[in-house]
Order: sequence, then C-alpha cells, then structure tokens
Amino acid sequence: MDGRRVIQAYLDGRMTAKERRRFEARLATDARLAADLEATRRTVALLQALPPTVPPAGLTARIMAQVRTKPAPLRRASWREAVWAVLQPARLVPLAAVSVALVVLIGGRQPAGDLGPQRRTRPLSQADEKFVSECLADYNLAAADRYKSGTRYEHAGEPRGDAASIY
Amino acid sequence: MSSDGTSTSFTGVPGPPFWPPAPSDLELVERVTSGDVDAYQTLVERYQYRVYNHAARMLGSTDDAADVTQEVFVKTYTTLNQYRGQASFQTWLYRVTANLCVDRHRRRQRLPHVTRSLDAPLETEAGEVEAEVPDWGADPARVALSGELQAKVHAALAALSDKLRAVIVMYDLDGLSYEEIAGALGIPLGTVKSRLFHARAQLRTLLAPYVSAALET
Repeated sequence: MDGRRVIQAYLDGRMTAKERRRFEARLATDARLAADLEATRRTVALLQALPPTVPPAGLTARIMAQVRTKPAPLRRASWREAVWAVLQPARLVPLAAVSVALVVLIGGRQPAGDLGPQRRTRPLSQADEKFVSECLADYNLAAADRYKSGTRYEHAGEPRGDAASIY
Repeated sequence: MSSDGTSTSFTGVPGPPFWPPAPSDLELVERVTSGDVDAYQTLVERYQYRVYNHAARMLGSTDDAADVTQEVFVKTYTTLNQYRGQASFQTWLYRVTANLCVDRHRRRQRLPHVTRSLDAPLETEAGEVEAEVPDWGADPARVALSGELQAKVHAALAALSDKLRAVIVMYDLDGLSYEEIAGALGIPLGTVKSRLFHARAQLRTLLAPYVSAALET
C-alpha cells in the first residue's frame, strides 16, 4: 500500500490497532508522510466546513401535493406470499375439513365392491370372462413351468422376484 | 424511563412522557404501500434535508437541488411497491438521488456555461482581490470558511467527475459508510475506496493554495 492509501485507511479508521500504532510511530520520524497526512486532513476539513444548506420552506408541501396526484403504489403480493397466505393454518384447517367432508359424502354414496363407473356401464361379456380365464391359466402354467425348472423372472418386462410369490 | 414517567433518550435529554417510538422506515413504507399516503410525509420530512444537501453539493445550485429533491421523492413514491427492504430505505433513496443528479448534471452540461480558474483572482466591485487563505487554527477540523473560500471549495467539487464527486460527497459530507455507498451506487467496495482516494487527491491538488499555505509556514 502506498503512502497516500495508508493515509486514507488511517483517516477513515480502517486500520487495526496494531497497524495504527505502527503508522503513528512512522509519522513521528517521516516528515513527508506527516505533511501528506496533514494536507489530506485539511482538504477534508475544507470540504466539511461548507455550511449545510437548508431546504426551502414549503418543499414538503410541494412534494406531497405532487405525490397525491400519483396513483398509490399499492403492494402486489409475490407468488410466494400468495401461496403462504393460502397455507396459513387458519385457512388450511377449514379447507381440510371441507375436503374430508366431501370425500366422506361422495364415498358414502358409492356401493361397496363397485369398481367404478366404467365397470358399471359396460359389464364383461361371457366371452370376455372366458378369454381372461384362459389367459390367466396360460400365465399360471408358464409360471409354474419356470418355477419347476428353477428359473427366475430374469427376462425383460417381468418383475424380478421369487416365482413362488405369484401363487 | 424514569420514575416520574418521563422517558430519557441516550443523549440524556428527557423526552415527553410515554412518547411512542417513531415508526421505522420499513413500517412507514408498509403503511404507504397499504394505501396510507400520509405516512409518506413522515419519510419525506425524515430524509428531505439529506437528499437536498446531497443534491446541492452534487449540482452546486440550490434551485436545482430543490427540483431534484422533489423529483426524487415523487419517483420513490411511485416505485415504492418495488421496495422489498433488501437495502435500507436511505440507501435506496440515495441511489435514486445519485441517478437523478447525474441526469440533471448531464442536461445542464449541454447548456453553455462559464468556467473560471480556481487560482484566478476574484473580480469584485472594488477591483481584483487576491485569493484568501483559510485561517487554520490548532484544530483543522474547526476551520471556518469565508464566502469566497466556500465558492472555491464548491468550484473544486464541481471540477471533479460525477463518479468521484458522488463518492466524496456521500462519504465526507453525508457521512455514509463505504458499504452504504457501495449499495447506493451499485459498485464494489474496492471501487468506493479507490474513487474516494482519487477524489481526495484531485481535490487536494485543486485546493493546494489553501491547504498547503499553512504547512509551508
């Protein structure tokens, strides 16, 4: 750090106590550094000796008169704030209660064992039932063969696991 | 709070009994952005002196400073809903002020103006007078400036570039910290230090006749 930058650090209180002591010790023996410090200090003092200026009377009123002609800068909530507002416990509890009530109401109307509207509107024909039974029987035989031969489900598309678990 | 019900500030001056604490800047901003325009007046009263003084130092004209101060507060008001409190309100205000001062200064530079050497003798009704030297007492910080010297210091300040002047005015006159200046001007801390260094060095050269006179004697 050159001399003038050290002076700036010293004047602005940006030195550690140890640096400050070393700098002040050097000042006592270095006349040029001391003169530099004094000149910088006086430059700042000249600047700070400028008297403050006082705002003209009525400036606040002028500003406020103009401000009142502008649209109010109303704050728009960010998406995070909006989500958080919805997730407040005070709102969440009634929302959950309504959801539970709806589930119970709708679930209560559904006959037990019913698999849904598609099954109700289009029941399986006898031919379909037979086809499904044959497929299942074929699958079971193939699986049983693999089980007897000691092979496992290792080819692609089938879950890996013990063949016995399918029975 | 003392036993008689009056509050005592840290300065030791007793305050009115049970005086409510002044609302913070952030509280006032929240009130304004909720529709309370009157709360903005408190912010204007709180900061207009600083904004006006900064603008006066930056522009060297009290008329321009008043215009810029008005512009700053109106602009700040219209964009207040964008303020999220990341920086202090004062820093935000300084940023707007600095930008508007630079705009105003550029507009003004397009107009013809008369420049004058800082070392030239002053012309008065009584004829030419030599430049006055400040009376440096035992404590340089307590120097008093005559009207002529004030004009010289103003002229020296005006001779700096906008970037250097903004930093030295904020630091040495407005009392902002390096960090606050960095936030207000949107520049790194190192740049603040560097600009302050160069601003002081240039000012010292410009004001050399007044600064070094006493040192040489």
